[in-house]
Amino acid sequence: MTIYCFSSSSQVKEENSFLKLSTWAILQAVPSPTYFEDRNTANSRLKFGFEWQMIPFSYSFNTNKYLSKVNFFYIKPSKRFSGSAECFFEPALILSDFKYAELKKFMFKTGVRIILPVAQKGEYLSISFGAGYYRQSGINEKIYDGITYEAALFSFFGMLGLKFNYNQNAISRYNIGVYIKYY
Amino acid sequence: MKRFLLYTFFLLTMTSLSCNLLMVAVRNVTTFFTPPDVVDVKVKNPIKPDVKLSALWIGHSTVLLQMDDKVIITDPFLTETVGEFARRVVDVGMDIENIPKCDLILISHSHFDHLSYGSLEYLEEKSKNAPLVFPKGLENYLPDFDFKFVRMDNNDGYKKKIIGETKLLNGIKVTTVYAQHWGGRYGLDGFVWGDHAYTGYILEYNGLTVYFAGDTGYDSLKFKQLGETFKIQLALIPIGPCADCENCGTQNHVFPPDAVYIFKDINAKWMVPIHYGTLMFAQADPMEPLFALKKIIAAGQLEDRIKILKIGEQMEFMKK
Repeated sequence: MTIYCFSSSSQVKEENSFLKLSTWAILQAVPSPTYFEDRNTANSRLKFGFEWQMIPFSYSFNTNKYLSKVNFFYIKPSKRFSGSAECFFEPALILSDFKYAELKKFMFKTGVRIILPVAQKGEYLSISFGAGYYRQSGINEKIYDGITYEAALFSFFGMLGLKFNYNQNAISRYNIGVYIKYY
Repeated sequence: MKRFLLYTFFLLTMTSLSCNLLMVAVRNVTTFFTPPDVVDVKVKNPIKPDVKLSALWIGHSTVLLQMDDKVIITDPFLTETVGEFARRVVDVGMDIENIPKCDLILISHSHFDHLSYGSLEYLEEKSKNAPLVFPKGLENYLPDFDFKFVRMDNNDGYKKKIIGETKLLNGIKVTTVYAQHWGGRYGLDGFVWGDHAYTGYILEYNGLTVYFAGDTGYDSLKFKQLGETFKIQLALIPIGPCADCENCGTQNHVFPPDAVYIFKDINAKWMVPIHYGTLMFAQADPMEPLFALKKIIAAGQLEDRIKILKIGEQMEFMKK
C-alpha cells in the first residue's frame, strides 16, 4: 500500500443538555402549514395559517424494557409512532383576516389522539385518530367552541404528516394541513 | 409575495432539518425507477454440519455467520428500502424464508441502514426470543420486538477504553469494542445532541473469533490494541461509502485504504469487506469502493486473505 492513513480524531461529543434542550425548543417553533375554512352562508374559501404541535403527555404502548412508557413534551419518534396515546395542545394563527367568517386570527385545539403503526413500526406509515376541544373568538367577541375530530397520516419517521380536522359547530369547520414535528 | 416567502420559509426549515437525508433522497430518486439487480444464485441452506466458520453476505452490513453450530446475523437489512427513500440497488442476498433461526442478532448503531425495523419484523417469526444485542443508548430508537433485548456498554462512544462490556449470550461470548462513528437516527440527535450509541463487536465461540466492525473511522492505535487483545480469524470491515475511494477515509467512515489498515492492525486472518454495493449514498456509486479495494489487494498480494463476496455469496473459511 502506498497510501498512509493516519488516525482521524474521534468526533465524540459530550452530551450538552443545554444545547439539546435549546435546539429542541427551537424546533418546536417550526409551525405546521394549515388551511382553515373561511365561509359564510354564501361564500367559502381557504385561509392559510400555521399550527404548532405540542404534546404535553404521551403514553407509549410499544416501548422496550429499557424505556419509560410515559413521556412529557419530548418524545422519541420510535416511542410515539410505534403506538401511543397522547394529549395534544395546538395553538394556531391564521395569517390574514377572515374574509367571510367573522373570526379572529387565533384559535387553539386541545384533546387526545391515538397513534397506530401501519408500516415499519410506524416509521413508514402510521395513522392517528383524535378528538378534543377547539376555541376561536369571533370579531364580535362571540366565542365559537366545541368538539373537534381529527384524523391524520404520518410518514417520514413521523416527522411529516397530513392532518384533517372537523370542528363541530364552528364557522371555520374544516382544517387541513401538513403536520411537522421533530421529537 | 407573502405566500412565496411563506413557502420559502417552509422549504428552508425542512431542508435545514434534514439536509443529509435530503441529499441521500435526491441521489436515490433514480433507484425508484429501476428494479434492484437480481441475485442469480441464492443460498437455500446456509448452515452446514461440516462447516466451522462461514460468512454469507446478504448485502450492505448484513452478514449471516455460521460459527460452528451457532448462527449470527449482523445489522439485518432485509427490506427493499431503508429510511423510506433509500432503495436497494441489488436484491436481498438471501430469500427471507431461508434465513435460519438466529442465535444472535447484532445491531452496531441506529442509522437507518443498520437498524431496519422491517427487517427485524421478518426475523421475529423464526428467531423469537433470540438476543438482540445493541450498544447503550440505542434503546432510544428501538420499539419493542419479540427478542430478548440485550443492551451493552460502549463507554459513551469509547472515550477511554476500547473494550465496552462482555456478555455470554446463547453460549457465544460477545464483547463490544471500539468504533469511531456517530449515533442518532433523525439527524440532529446524532450530529448535535451527541448520541453515542455505536459499537463494533467481537464474537468468540468454540475457539473461533469474529470481528464485526459496524461502521467506523480509523484509529491506528485503537485497532492495534484490539489486535493485541483478540486473536481474530474473520473480520467484517466496512469499505465505504466513498467517492474518493483511493484515499483515506473520514472521521466516521473508513475507505478501502484504511479498511485494509484496520485489517492489518487487528492482525486478522481473513477479511470480508462490507458496507458497499447495496445502497446509493450521497457520495458516489455504491460499487466505487470495490475498485479501489481490488487495486490494494493486487498491490499487496492479499487475495488469499481479503475475500470479496458477491451479494448472496457464501464463503466457507473453516471446515470441521
